[in-house]
This record gives sequence, C-alpha cells and structure tokens, in this order.
Amino acid sequence: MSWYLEAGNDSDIVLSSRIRLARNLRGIPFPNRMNDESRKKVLEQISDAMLKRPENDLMRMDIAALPETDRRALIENHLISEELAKGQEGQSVFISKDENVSVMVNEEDHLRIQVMAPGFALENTYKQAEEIAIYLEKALPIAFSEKYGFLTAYPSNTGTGLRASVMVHLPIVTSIGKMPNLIDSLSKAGYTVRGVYGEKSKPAGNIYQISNTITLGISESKTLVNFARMINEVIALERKLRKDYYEKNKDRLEDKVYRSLGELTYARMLPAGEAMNRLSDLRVGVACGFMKDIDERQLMLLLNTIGDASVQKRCGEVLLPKDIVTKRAEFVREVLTKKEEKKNENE
Amino acid sequence: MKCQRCKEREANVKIMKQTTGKAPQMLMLCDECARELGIAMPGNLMGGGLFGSALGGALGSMPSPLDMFASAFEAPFGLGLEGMEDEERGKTCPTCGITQSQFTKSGFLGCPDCYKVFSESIDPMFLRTQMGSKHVGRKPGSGDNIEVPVEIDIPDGKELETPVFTQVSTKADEQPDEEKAKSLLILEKERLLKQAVKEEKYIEAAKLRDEIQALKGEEDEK
Repeated sequence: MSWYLEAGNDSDIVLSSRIRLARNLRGIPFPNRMNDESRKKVLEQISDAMLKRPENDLMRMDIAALPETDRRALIENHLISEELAKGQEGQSVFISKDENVSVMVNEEDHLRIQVMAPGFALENTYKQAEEIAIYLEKALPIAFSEKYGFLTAYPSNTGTGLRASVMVHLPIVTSIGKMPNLIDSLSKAGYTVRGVYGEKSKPAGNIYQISNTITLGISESKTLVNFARMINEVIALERKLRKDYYEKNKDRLEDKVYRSLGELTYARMLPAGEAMNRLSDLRVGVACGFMKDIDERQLMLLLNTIGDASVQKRCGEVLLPKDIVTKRAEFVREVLTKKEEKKNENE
Repeated sequence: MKCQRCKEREANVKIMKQTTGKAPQMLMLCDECARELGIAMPGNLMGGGLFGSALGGALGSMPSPLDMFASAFEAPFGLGLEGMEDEERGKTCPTCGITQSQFTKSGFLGCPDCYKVFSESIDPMFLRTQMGSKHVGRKPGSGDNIEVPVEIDIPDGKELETPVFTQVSTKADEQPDEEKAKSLLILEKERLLKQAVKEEKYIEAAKLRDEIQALKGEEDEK
C-alpha cells in the first residue's frame, strides 16, 4: 500500500511530513563539479554500501534508463527532484516498496536521504532517515568538519544537513488573505514556504510546503522541536479560522463544497489545477464534518495521483494534453463514486 | 515589480550599491530571497512570535541598515553582479579548482575542502543566515537520542495571542558560541568599514564605526 493512504496525525491540516538528510563523500567534488566518470564511481561506491545494508529493502533505479513519463511521475510523488530527473550518468535513486523512502545519488549532493510519512509525523520519520544516514556514515567516508558539520554543496544546507518539511492544507488562511502575512513571518523566523512541488512551484489546492532553513548552529533535535512547535501553531491557526468561518458562513461553505463535489463527480474534462482546488474544497467539507459521502483517504489518493505524469502512467501511454484532462476526470469520478457504491451495497 | 533573484515573488527590498566612478547598481528582492542572502540578520529570529504579524501586522517590514546592503552584494549566492573588486576574488580551491568568483556567482561550493579555502567569506554569511558558524549537531556514525514532543497541546487556538514559537535555541546551547559570533561580527564590520572608507562612503562608514563601538562596548561591560 502506498504510504500516503495510511492514517496520519492532524491529517485535517497536515497532508504529509518529510525529512531529508544531505551527505557527501570526502575528497570528491560535489555533483556540480563532477563529470560522468566520477559520478559513476560515486554511484558504485554508494550502491555497494546500500547493497550491504542489513535490511536491503530499497530498489535502485538509474534515472537515465527511465522514460520521461516515469521521471515526471517520480517527481509528482516527491521521490526525486527536478535536479535528479535530468538523468545524467550516475544519477540514481533507491526507493522503498511503499515509496516512503528514497535515497537520491548525485543530486545536488552525493547523497540525499529522504523519508516521508502521512500526516504530522516528524519523530519516526526522522528516526528512519537517521538510521539510514548512520549506516552510510559508518560504511562510507563522509565529508564532515568539526566546525561546519556535514558539508554540502550549497552552504545553506551544511551543519546537520537536515531539512524537515510538511505539506499543509491552509484553505481558510488562504481565502481570507492571511497567507502573505503568514509566509512573511515564517520567512523571518527561518522557515520557507513553497508550493507542492518544491522550490519554484506555485501553490495549488491551497497546499503549501513549509521547511526549516537553518541547519548550522542548531542540533537535529532542537530543529525538530522548534519546527514541530511552529507547525502546531500553524495547525491551530487554520483550525480556529476554519471553525469560525464555518460557524459564520455555514450555508456558503456547504454550498461551495457540494458544488465542488458536483463538479468533480460530473466533469468530463479536468485540468490539474482546477481538480486540486476542488479537492481542496472537499477536504474542508470533510474536516468540518458535514461532508460524509467522501473520506480523507479517497482525497489523499486523488491528491497524490492526478498529476499529468501519474495520469499518463496509469493509462500506460503517452497522451495529448486534451486526453489527459479527460482521463483525469474519468479517474476522479471513479474514485469518488466508488465509495458510494460500497455504501449502497452495505445498506 | 518581481524579485530579481527568484523572479516569482513581489520585490519589496531595494538594495543600492554605489561605487565611486561607476553608475549605481540597484537590486530588487523579495523578503524570502533577501533573507536567504543574509540581508536579514539572525537577530530577526528572536523577534516576536509567529502570529503577532501573521494575524494583524503590516507586511514587509524588512530591516534595512546600511551595513547589510554592502554584504548583500557580496553574499555568494549567484546575484550575477559582475565587476566587484575584492582582493579575495583571486582565491582558488586547490582540490577542485573552483575560484572565489565562481563560488560567488553560483552559490555552490565545489568540494568539501572549499569550506576551508573560502572560510573567510563563508563565516560572515553563516553569521547572518544561520545560528552562528559552529556545528552543534550529530557527528558521523553516532546516534542521537532525540525526543520530539510532536503532540504539543494547543487548545482551540487559545494560545495564539502568546505564541511559544521562536527559532531560538536555549541559552545553554547558545552561550559558548555567542562570544565567538560577536567577535566575528566585529571583524566583518571592520572589513566593511575599511571598504566603505576606501570607496568614500562616509555616511555608511560612520554608521559602521558606531556599530563596532557599540558591539565592543557590550563586550567591555561583561
């Protein structure tokens, strides 16, 4: 089962949590200064270590060997980055069966260990990532300095090399126009807010990715504690605003959510952005407790599988843009109406 | 106007670089890029809680002391501002061959050894953008028994008025590094002061002189 379908904490607001640790090998240039030959060597060295891991549960995929659609799908599932998708010689990724763990090789750094979990779950996610990191730190000559910690290609990651992120769904903060202020204060406090697909992406479906930016002069545990505390405040803010908003605008909100359900269940052509926004509405309906026909899991499934590449991959063929919107609408309908059928059967 | 660095967000920080005999250079940045470039001092991190400004405050109150202007142009983060004269530009990493100006332009270091070679320009940057320039986290291969209180109880947003959130480490964590950080900050400001005098930017120089004196004064009081 895919990791994102499991139940998570605070999932009314937090869709998923992610921990990333950056590591590099000593005495070797960072990937931005490497040629095909040296990237290949580093990959071999890392591959050897990965194969000897006691719980050798990760599968290696060489990006250069993957068709473009597969690469895009991996990006949509947050398993690789745009940087790795370039697919240069020696760029690879190790992925776990349920796709919650990915270890990127020769991305911006030699090693990027990443673990994802549904809902708000930093502790276990971190522990899982740290376990892999500790193993690799013992098995490989890792670039480390007493002064700067784990050394990374981009100086702003050095120190712990730890990036904690959560995907948060903030429809009401967004709709009442408080998002710029929130982004502003988070940014001043050492956090960054981005769209769903990282650095340059635009937010869709009122989903934002919040991450820490400070990695030096702060320990791993302190980073996580501060981060958790800050996210808890964001959660409390959105929850409070949702509650107030629903109390004051009950009819309006219910109307909006049910219209969105109508659109998603009956539309024959669905562009990705529109689908994300309508799904965002449904999530609000579920969280406020009045939308009982749909559950959070169906919405998680859809949010994670309606990207262009995921739609193409499911169809097993390269589609024209006009066909992608049609296939997406078909799939959304299928998922949203399935539950009702089941319900009817039970009755 | 869009930020000239990310070309996405609205720019609301304006930075001018004035060099004698040259046309002034202007740079428009958004808050986030400005922060990443170190224009916001780590001091901001200590500033109030999250929601003070999130819920009602005015937007875009970036600090703009003059001394940070100059540093923005030097911050090694690919600003693409060519033609800066600096003796340090000549440095080259013997291991990977990357030069100071390549680093300044791209923001990327070439190899782990670069950290030693370019430490003089990296350290002040860390002082601005990170919590000091000394690693306090885990060492390779060692475990770190962390306990994360993920479930911090915040009932119904009651505590929103008095937020607990700051990205500041506890006093105990901070103490040993604070002194070092300050002396590095003084060194960096003295360097900027020299440069300001050289470039005949006397207002900026006077301001820097006062700030250095203030910092040194704090030290003497202890």
